[in-house]
Amino acid sequence: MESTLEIVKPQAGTPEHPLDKLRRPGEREFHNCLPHAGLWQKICIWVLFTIGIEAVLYYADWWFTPAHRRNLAFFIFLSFAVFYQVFRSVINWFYFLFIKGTPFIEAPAGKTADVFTTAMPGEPYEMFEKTLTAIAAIRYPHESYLLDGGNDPKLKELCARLDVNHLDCSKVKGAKAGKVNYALSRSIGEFVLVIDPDHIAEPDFLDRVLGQFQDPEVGFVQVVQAYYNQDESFVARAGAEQTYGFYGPTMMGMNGLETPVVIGANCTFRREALKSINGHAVDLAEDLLTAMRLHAKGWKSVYIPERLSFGLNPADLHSYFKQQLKWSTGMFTVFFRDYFRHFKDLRFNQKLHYFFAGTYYFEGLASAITCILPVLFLFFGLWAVEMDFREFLIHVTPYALVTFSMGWFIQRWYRHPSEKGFLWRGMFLKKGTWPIYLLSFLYFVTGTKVPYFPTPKTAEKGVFTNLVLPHLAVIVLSIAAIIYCLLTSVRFVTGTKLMIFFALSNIVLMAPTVIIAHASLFRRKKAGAL
Amino acid sequence: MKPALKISLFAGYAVLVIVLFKGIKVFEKEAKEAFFTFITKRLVAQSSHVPVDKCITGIYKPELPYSFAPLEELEDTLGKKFTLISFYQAWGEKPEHSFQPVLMDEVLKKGRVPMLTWEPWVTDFTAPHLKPLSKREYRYLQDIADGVYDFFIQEWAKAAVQWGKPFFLRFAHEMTNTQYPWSLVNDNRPEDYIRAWWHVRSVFDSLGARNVIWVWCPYGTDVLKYYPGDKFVDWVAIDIFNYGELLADDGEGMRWMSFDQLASPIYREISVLKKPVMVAEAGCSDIGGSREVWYREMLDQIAKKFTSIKAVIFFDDPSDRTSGKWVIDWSIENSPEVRSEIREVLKSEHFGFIENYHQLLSASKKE
Repeated sequence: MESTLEIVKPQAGTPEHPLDKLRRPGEREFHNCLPHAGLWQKICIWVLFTIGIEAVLYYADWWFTPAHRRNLAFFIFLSFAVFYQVFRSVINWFYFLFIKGTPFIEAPAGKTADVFTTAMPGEPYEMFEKTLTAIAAIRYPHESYLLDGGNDPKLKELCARLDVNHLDCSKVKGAKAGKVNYALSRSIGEFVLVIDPDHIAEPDFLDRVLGQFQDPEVGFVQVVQAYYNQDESFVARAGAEQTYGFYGPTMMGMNGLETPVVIGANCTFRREALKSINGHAVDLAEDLLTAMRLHAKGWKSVYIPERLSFGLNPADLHSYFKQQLKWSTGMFTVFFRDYFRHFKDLRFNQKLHYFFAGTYYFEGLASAITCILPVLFLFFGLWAVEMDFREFLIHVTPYALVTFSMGWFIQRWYRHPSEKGFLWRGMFLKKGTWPIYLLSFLYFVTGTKVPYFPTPKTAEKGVFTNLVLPHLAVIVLSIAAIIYCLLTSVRFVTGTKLMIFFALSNIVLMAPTVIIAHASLFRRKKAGAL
Repeated sequence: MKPALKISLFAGYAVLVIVLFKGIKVFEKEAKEAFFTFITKRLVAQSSHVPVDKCITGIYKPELPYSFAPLEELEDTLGKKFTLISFYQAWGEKPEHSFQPVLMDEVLKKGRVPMLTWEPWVTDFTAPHLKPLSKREYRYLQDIADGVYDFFIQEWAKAAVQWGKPFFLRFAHEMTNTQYPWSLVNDNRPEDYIRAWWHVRSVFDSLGARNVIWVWCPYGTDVLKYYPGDKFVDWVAIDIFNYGELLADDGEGMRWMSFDQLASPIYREISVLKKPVMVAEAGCSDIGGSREVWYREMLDQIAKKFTSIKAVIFFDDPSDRTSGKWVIDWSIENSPEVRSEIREVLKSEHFGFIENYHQLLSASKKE
């Protein structure tokens, strides 16, 4: 059960490791903390979960009182939007019930492992310097491969210096997954670790991971993706914040349900497993699809909640939105196209899990509805519901309290002490990404193809007013609607306060994203003043 | 774990969840009210009112506040003016049941302050969501507390808040008097009364009402179980009537009672509340004793013994039919002897007319 970690100190004479300056204080020691949920913690979660269910029932029972209903169509839309969010909370809580750590297993000696990372033309050279240095420094004996889509002579030279195999992938079709499949055909290691080009791996990465494959049914092992650039910008910080819960309690919950998924980076596969599904899936959501196919083939997966590699988050709104658009479109595709295809081969937990995952990005549709309906009501008196505001507060408060208590309680499973706190940046940014999620939903519904673009790694500086036009529209319309309603107030009736409240919260939720999009403006002004 | 075990565990959990939910629904009202009091007790400001060291006087006359001429004539003979103008309004959906800013303004124009008794009669409503008339009044203070009558209360309260000037509001008075449907005659329990009071008050508070001075007026004895709490009440009122031997032939042994005899028991009870006390209705019949003595003793004792009484309102109805078969003349106006006695006592410094009382009240609006 006890997992022990040797703290890696740079030895005199060895070249400096890229992570030496990036690890946070206590980074390695923390791995030993709270890897499991103890009995009392389990009880706490079950109690909180049960109170949460009661709170949701209490809220729903009141919300769906027939007396509250006005226009039936609008009522259905608004109820969907409101209870979609509730549904997501419940799913989150549900995962926490199964939180499970993974006991450390010593990596067996004498296995063969390959480490892949991919390069695309235009990605910065300095990034590969770090990534490849770290890959070369991984202590477990392995072969390293750079899957170079540009066949860059500078990278070739770097590979030669670091003793990394350089594979010319400039003629390989498909993005990352295509290259990985090509590299699979050119290598023989029993295990394959795919590292994103921005991720810097710990030297003991394979030592921590390979032991899990002692179980012959384990097909892949995923670890935490941590980020080292969260201080670069608000967006980078917010994006990182969004992952804290996921790589901590949520993935540990999936671990308990035996359904951890591939996240794209830092996943170690058993070559045999990849072979059984004819290689890594080539798709927008290649990681999720690969995981689903492996699970459908009966492979088990393991999650190790340890921060073993550190990467980059999109640092500006444009890159972030591009990343989210790619993920959400991929998710919709996998859900509507592949989920039902593999449905019968998945185990019950996995069926449930992929359903939860596949419906994640309906967020966009739900947010759009909550943004539009209050405006329609305040301007035109188009009623979805008519509820007393005070009663609304009374009925929503227990749910809100449980959400906060649970959010607070599960922070003990966050993977680093620095991650704890009130993660408002991540929350606001997620709320502000709804047009992207909506867009990907519409793309999918209308059948438009989204061109594949790799997640941008470099911050593109600039002002992104065009990206936040929907947000601005919501803010302007909401303000106008509130003023209009207050001035005319012909029907300042029971439901009006609630709608004003919704409109106000939309303004508050959208405003940060608009500010972020223009952050560089403020910075420039500041610099000018100095 | 075997699938069968898993399924039965899941089913057991589902049953637990449902049973818990049913339980919550049972205690919901209590819990909600407890929660709500918890919040309101912190939000509702401690009531404030103009400290009255004297005792102000007021009067109820049937024609008030429509016509002030008879009042002013009476005041001329008494040599003192009445500060409070008492009148009554029932609940209902007709125009006369709505809040009457014009009438209220009339009172203010005369330099007086309205003392409005607000009676929650509910049989006059025809709104479709209400219970049928035959069942409507059974323990209906619960319905008031649950917001069933909010459609009316809110409208009224909004108008009152909009009007914005201070007035006394005596809501659901004499809740222990079975003459009224909000008493235990309809099985209303003390807790129902208190919840209804809280609810009505909360409607006003949530509209930001700061001009309402809340008057809680019990009747009889053993009344403290109806008290809504210090934070929800500004004045405590009592109604004191000496029927004399008027109803004696009912065989109930009615006898002439002095103000002291009538007021002492309830005064003793409510004096623990440390609130200013108002005699909201005071009247004496003329059968079995001397009215002028009764009134003089009353005022004397208010000045000397019942020092918490800071307001006294004469019930000046010459033809009160509320007691059933009798028409009772409570008026002081019709009795020269009573008028001259009262005139003498009112000369005392203790009974003052506060010329600018409503401005003082406005200035001290609740924070």
